[in-house]
Amino acid sequence: MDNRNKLLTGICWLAVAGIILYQTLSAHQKIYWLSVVFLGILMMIGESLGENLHTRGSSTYGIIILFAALLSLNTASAVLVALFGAFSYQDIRMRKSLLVLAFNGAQYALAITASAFFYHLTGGAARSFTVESALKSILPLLLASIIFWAINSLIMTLATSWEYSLGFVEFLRKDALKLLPNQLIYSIVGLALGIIYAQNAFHLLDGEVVGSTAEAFRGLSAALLLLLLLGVAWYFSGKNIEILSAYDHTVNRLMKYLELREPYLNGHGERVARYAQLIASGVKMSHYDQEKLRYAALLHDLGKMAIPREILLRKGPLYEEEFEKVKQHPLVAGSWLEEIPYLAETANAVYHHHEYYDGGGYVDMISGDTIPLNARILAIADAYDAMTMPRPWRDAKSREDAIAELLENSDVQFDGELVKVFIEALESLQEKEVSPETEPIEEREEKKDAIAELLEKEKEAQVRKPRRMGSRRQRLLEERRRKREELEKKESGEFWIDEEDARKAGKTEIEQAREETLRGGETERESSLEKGGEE
Amino acid sequence: MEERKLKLARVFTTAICFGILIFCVTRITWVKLDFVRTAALILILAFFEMWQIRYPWGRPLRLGLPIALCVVAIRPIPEALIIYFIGSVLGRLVGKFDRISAGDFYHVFERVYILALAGLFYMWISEFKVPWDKPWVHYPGPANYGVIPNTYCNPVVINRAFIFPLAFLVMVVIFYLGETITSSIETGLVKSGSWRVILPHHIRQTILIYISLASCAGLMALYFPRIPWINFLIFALPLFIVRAESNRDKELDNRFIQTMRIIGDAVDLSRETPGHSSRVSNLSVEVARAMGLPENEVRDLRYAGALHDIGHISDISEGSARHPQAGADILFEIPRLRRVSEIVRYHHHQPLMDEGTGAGRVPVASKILNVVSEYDHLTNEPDKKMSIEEALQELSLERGKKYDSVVLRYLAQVLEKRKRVVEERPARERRQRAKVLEEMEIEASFEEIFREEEEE
Repeated sequence: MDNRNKLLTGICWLAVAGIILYQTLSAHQKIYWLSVVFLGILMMIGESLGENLHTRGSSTYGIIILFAALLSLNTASAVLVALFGAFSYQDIRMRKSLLVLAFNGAQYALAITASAFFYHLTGGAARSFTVESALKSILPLLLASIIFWAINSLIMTLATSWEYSLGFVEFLRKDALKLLPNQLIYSIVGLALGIIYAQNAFHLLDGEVVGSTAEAFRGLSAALLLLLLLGVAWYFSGKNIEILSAYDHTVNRLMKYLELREPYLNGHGERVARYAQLIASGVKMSHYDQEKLRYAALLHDLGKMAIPREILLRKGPLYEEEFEKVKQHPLVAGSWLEEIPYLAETANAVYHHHEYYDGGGYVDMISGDTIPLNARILAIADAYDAMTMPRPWRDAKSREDAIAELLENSDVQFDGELVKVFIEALESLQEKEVSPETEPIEEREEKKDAIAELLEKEKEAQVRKPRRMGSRRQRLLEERRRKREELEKKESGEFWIDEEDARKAGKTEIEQAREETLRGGETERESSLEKGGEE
Repeated sequence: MEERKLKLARVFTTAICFGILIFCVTRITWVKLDFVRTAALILILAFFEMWQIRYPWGRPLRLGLPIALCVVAIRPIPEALIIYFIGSVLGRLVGKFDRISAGDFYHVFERVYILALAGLFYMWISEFKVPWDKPWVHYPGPANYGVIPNTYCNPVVINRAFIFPLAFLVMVVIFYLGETITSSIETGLVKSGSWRVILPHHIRQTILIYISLASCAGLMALYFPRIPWINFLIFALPLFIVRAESNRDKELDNRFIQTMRIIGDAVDLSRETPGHSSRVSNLSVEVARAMGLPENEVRDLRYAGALHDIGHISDISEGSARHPQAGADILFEIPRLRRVSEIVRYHHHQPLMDEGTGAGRVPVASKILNVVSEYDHLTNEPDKKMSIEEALQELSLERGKKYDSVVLRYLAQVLEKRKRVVEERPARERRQRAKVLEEMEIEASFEEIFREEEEE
């Protein structure tokens, strides 16, 4: 954690302690302990459910519980409930440090205090509701909700921009603004829960009079219904996150597979994506845009599939008409990507990634800032990776040589500013590589990249599932993966093994495992059948 | 045959619906009716009815449904049915932005009588006498608690703490059963399948959304006597969260298949068979639908069609015999496409050979893919370019040997249907298309002339 963030956490905690002391001692607010614990547990559940992983801020169902606490209890109790928000299952599983957890709790507490202040100032009701008071409370509630959002995203933005060196304004504009509608809706759902809680359950736990069993039953069923409703929404959002991560994984894997056509590429798309991300965080691009840039980088050479293999693998120079064909490839990929609404913005970057900064490139021969930013970034990342990797007709250049060439061509082929940013980022990476205390780049990259986190989670889920299900198929799958990993280790460690053999061995491994898993005991029959099919 | 049945069912539905509505009109005591509040309920229902939650297939749901269930719970049934009818028709007419079809109105008619049935059960159960369930009148607590007098509903029923949830639950379950069964029958008639096959799939895709809608309806009814009218606002908001999330789900699915499709297109270009995979994907989906495959298999087939030739990428040196294996191996590594990989793996298997060694093992989808892929090669490859009839004849030479005879029959049927659709397309439209094409050709020839002149 950044030192400034440690300081920020400390200040937040001091403020929270001050607020609680003031409210209880000076303003004589009672703390409803049983309610605090009950809602606090709900808060922990809510925080664990709606993690929004696409953007850096978070918009979780915890907000609903928090506002319910504010409306059915008082400020001091709501602050205590907010502190429970520190313990989210996601964070704990990812082994975030205690300091991060503490920071999360404290910033919730601060935000809810401020919004409680404005809520009561503008005449919002609390504790008990009639039609009039509920109606009158809606406007103050929305105001309080906006205040909550503003403070929450301000603190979060400050922290993340220090932690990941992102652009403050960019982040606020692109990522945080997306959370506002959710925030407003959640606060009104919070009102609903608050009303239910205040009318029914509150008196059971902390009330002066004890309610009837019938009443408690009704309150319980109402709360249950609301949780059911949210549960369904949560299920779908979880499914969405799952699809997103599966999508990323699939695109990544298939694009890598398509690179087999030009064997020397060997992970080109993924590396370009990483370099592009370096530049993007250098120019402080928002996460939302970075994700689009990532897909542009992964898919940028899709159009090359239209170029015949002979041309691609030729070691000598190309004929005029062949080069014309090569020039078509950004156009082909661009026109495909344009058909997909989500990737339409990406298409622009792919379309222009061979433009020169002085206008000497192809497809449209535009120049300067009229080339989209993403395309300019992509051009540098693409060129750098091409230079540092070997090709059949030339050797790989060293990092220094490649940088020199980038500098030489800046403002001719590349955007000079971006080249500078890129070189800086590369150098800082190298420094970190050299010094032993800091973590290796791969890990850092993964941490930086929200999508990588997703992938990791998916993997975990895959590992976890078979244990729960305990099915034979899953166990076999796991075994297959382990064997393959062993094999890969062998392949990379002892190079005297014939590569071809290793590959074949790998394939039979897959086949065996697959047949075992899917066909049960009928392996022999199936394999004979497959042989028959090939003849 | 199926189309006639569908028409008959619709006429029948309409008749029953209007019969019930007329009966309702006679049962309302118009003098006692509070027109302003009834109109308010109608408008609220119409407002929510404008938005819909879509499924990959089957009839969409509209957000007015929970309001309708709530109205049945708080108002007498005849009035509630009329409110539902007017409100939902109004909502559909106003909310045209959310895609609307003629079938949509039949769904309203159908729901009217399902709602009537469910409402009768609700009434019946809510009048049970249970000694330990007293109406909630004097509640110990702050004075401003409790039912607001004159709230335009019967609070006694709703406040029966044990009977109301029970009655409401029964109503919701009966409504859900009626809704899914009629919906499955309709889907069966439209897509020519048996409703008993469709029902479980339909339940699987709708149950979660229904639970959320029903719990929302329950909350609205429960809190109507306490916070009347704003209860609709407050408890409907989570519904919009559900709608947004579930529709985003559809959008992501779409993005997934489209991306797979462009990857398939790219593979086609590298093999110089442009457009092959997309065409195969579309046609095989049509054939699968005609054969009555369940929708989840149809979905897998769509992916398989788009990606079935991907194995050619790594298979250049070894000839093309191993491409199904290679493609399936790569797809097998992607958890989400595991079932697709099985379809791809067997898409060149031959039925005759399988019959000796367990033909049932080869998925039906693979057989479809085999036939359709070959058909597409025959009709579209530049050196063959056969007509539909020629290609079908060519394929039927190997009927039962290389190609599955059942699939072949359905393929012929689908192609026949396609042809009929083209022929039945209104003459005016066809003429217009021809005109546009002609213009484009002229335009192109002009451009060529210009270019030649410039070159000279």
